[in-house]
Parts: sequence; structure tokens; C-alpha cells
Amino acid sequence: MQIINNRYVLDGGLDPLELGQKYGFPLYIYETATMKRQYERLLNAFDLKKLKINYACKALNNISVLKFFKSLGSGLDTVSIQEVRVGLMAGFRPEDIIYTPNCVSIEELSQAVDMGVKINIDNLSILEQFGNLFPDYPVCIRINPHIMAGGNSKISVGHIDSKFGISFHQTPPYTSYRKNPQYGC
Amino acid sequence: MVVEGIHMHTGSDIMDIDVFLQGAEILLSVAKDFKDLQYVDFGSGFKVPYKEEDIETDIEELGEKIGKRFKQFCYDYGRNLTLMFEPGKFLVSDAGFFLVKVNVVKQTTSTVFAGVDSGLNHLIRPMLYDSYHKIVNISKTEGRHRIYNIVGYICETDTFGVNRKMTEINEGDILAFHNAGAYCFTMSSNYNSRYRPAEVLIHEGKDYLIRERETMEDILKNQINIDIFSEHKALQAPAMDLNPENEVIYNNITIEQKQQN
Ligand SMILES: Cc1ncc(COP(=O)(O)O)c(C=O)c1O
Repeated sequence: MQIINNRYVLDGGLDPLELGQKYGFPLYIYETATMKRQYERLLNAFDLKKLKINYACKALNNISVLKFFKSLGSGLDTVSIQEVRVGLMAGFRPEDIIYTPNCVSIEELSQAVDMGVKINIDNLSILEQFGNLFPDYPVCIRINPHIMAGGNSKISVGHIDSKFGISFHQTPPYTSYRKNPQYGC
Repeated sequence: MVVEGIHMHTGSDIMDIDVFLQGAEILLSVAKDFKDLQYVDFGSGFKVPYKEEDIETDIEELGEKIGKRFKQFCYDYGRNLTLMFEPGKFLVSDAGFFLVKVNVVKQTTSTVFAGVDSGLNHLIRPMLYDSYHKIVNISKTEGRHRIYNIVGYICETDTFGVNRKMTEINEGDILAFHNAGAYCFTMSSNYNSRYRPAEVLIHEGKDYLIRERETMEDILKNQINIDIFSEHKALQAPAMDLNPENEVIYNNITIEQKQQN
């Protein structure tokens, strides 16, 4: 939003006050131009053959926004089976959706298997249950490297007390699955 | 079991690329032992600026450093893997604005409040984790500036911003919150039985309604109105009419007697 000729304007010269009159207040307004600019900025920052950006739709989950990211070639990062379903409805292919739940039931994980999306597991007991139920379904493993980052303790999820990820310190079970040909190592 | 990916997400708002790289190093040291990998996912946590003086994650530096390290990893691993990220805030935060109308301007002994037609039911981040959203009075681009506390209409303290300097606010003016694209609408609720707002998307110079404002039907949807309660006459308070038996007596003197004296 910038000031032009003594009034605020949005992308394309649209007047936020007029949009407010048209749709009523309070009102959320989003600009795809900014989303595209940020997406391209991230893509261009890397000089890699294979780079994939999965839009984390928990930030803004409107299906039209999801469709816009799909049009950019983005994948989708989801944290609930409902987000997965909206992603599929928005037209993302299952293989372009990654599902990273925390503390959900094995039943919900089974639904994700039925939908064919990528599954990211962040708990050893779930990994074991999952492996027994779906030995052929490939998985991703979420590691907690215990790096303190983040502006606020509620959104900093990598610390030692965090409920997220499998701690890289959990070496005994690690070594057991690391050395286990069952896990492909 | 096939492990096709290794992932980490350390938290939102990473400011220091070298801290991020330390995490990446740990992740890669775990990743190298898995032989069937297709991708390594570094999660997210890119910081976006909320205030003018805020630093933001230097994406270009990150791209250069992580990109270089990842190429070396792929070389050692023996295969080109996909590098993944999963940003939310970085992609949509700055793309969103939230417009509210000022219902009241209230001058107290110490503060001038601007009370708006919204609250923590629509945008909870400032109350939930002290996040900062820039707020401007878009009804006036010029003129005298004054300092306000911007508050909501919810029945608890719901302060959006403290000591915010902006063009003088009149009742009916429209304020715009910046960085309202990420974790704003998605965290909204019906607290105080208020409607969630509408959402509009601007694409190539045109505006599209992408969510309607809620209505009373949405508030009542899913509620089941059961009809099983019989009236408990004995528990009901007396009606609000003048009941002579409810005469006010103090020190044995009625109001009537007091007025006669
Ligand atoms: C696993 C995971 N990935 C991605 C994100 C998106 O983070 P951000 O919005 O900071 O980019 C989050 C945020 O909570 C998350 O938990």
C-alpha cells in the first residue's frame, strides 16, 4: 500500500477505502502480486537444479490463495488432514503435498496414506506403528536439531523441551533404526 | 521401510543465517546415513519485517550459503536431491491488509483510545504473542499526527497497538493493519458471537471476493436448540414493578417518613 496523489492505493491502483465500501468493514485484503514477488525471490536466491517450495497454508488457508500458489508451481505444506483435503480440492497433486502433523492419531495418518500425500513423521512411536501398518509407504522424518531460533517461545519449536521432531540426541533408538536395513540404511 | 525425506523446522523468525546453518549441518549429518532419500526439507522460519527498523532474514545470503552447502552434500551423497522449504509468513504476511472502522475515540486521563469494529476475534497475534502490526489511518494521508492506543470491541483487554502515532483519528475513519496475510484470518474465531470478516483477493488489478462475511446463520450453525427446560417458578426473582412489600427501610424509617421529616 502506498500513497499516490494524497490517497492510499493498493496493487493495480485500487483504493482500499472503495473496496471497504463495496465489501463492508472489517475486511481482509490480499494481493497476489506480493505473494508472487516473494515466491520468486526465494526461488531466485538458490542456484540449485532441484528446489521445491511448499507453501505452508496454515498461514492463510483460503482455497483461492492455495490455487494461486499452485499456479506458481508451488507445492503445499499441511499440518492437518483437513488442510490436505483443501489442498487436493485446490488441485494440488498428492505428491506435491507434504503433511507434517504433530500428535495426531494413527487413524489420521492412515487417511493421509489413502490420499497418497508425502508424510512427515516426528515421533519414534508413531514411526514404529506406521512402519508396521504401511511397510511400503515411504516417509519423511522430522528431526529436531535443538537450535534455538525464533522471536518468541511459542513459535520457537526447535529447543530441547520442544514437542516437535525426533531429537537427534535420541541416539539409542536412532542407531537401531539407522543400522536397520528395514529403514533403508 | 523407505525413508525418502529428512526434515527440520526450528521455529519462526530466524534472524541469523549461521544459526540456521548449524541446524542444517546437524540435519545433513543425520541425512547422510539414509540411502533412499529424495529430498531434504529445511522447513521455514524466515523472518519478515513488521517495523521499519526490523531486520529480515537475508534470503539471498541464505540461498547462497545453504545452496553451496547442499550442493556439496549432494556430491558426497552421490545423487542430486531436492532441497525443500515450507514458508508461510514469508510468502503471504506482507501481502495482506486488514481494514477496520473506528467506532469511538475515547479520551481518558492519560490515553486516547481508538476503539475499532474488530478485536482479538479477528486478529489475535498482538494479544497471543505480542506481535507488532503497523497500523495507519488511511482516511487521512496528511495533517496533524497524534498518539493512540488502538483497541478492539471484545469484552477483554484486546489492545492492537500502544502509543501509535498516526494522522488524527475521527470516529468513522478507517485504519489499515499491515502484515495481515499470515496467521491472521486463520486464527480468527467467533468469540463474543461476532462474525468472521470477508476476504478479498486482488489479482492483476482486479478485486475478487474469496470469502463472504459470516451471518447469524453461521453463528447458530451446528448448535442444537434443545427444548427440555421447564420454568422453576420458585427460583425466579420478583418482577421489576413497584412492590409495596419491597419498601426500603433504613434505621426503621421508610423513605416516605424520611421525606415527611
Ligand atoms: C512444520 C512447519 N513448517 C512451516 C511453518 C511455517 O512457518 P513460517 O510461517 O514462519 O514460514 C511452520 C509454522 O508454524 C511449521 O510448524
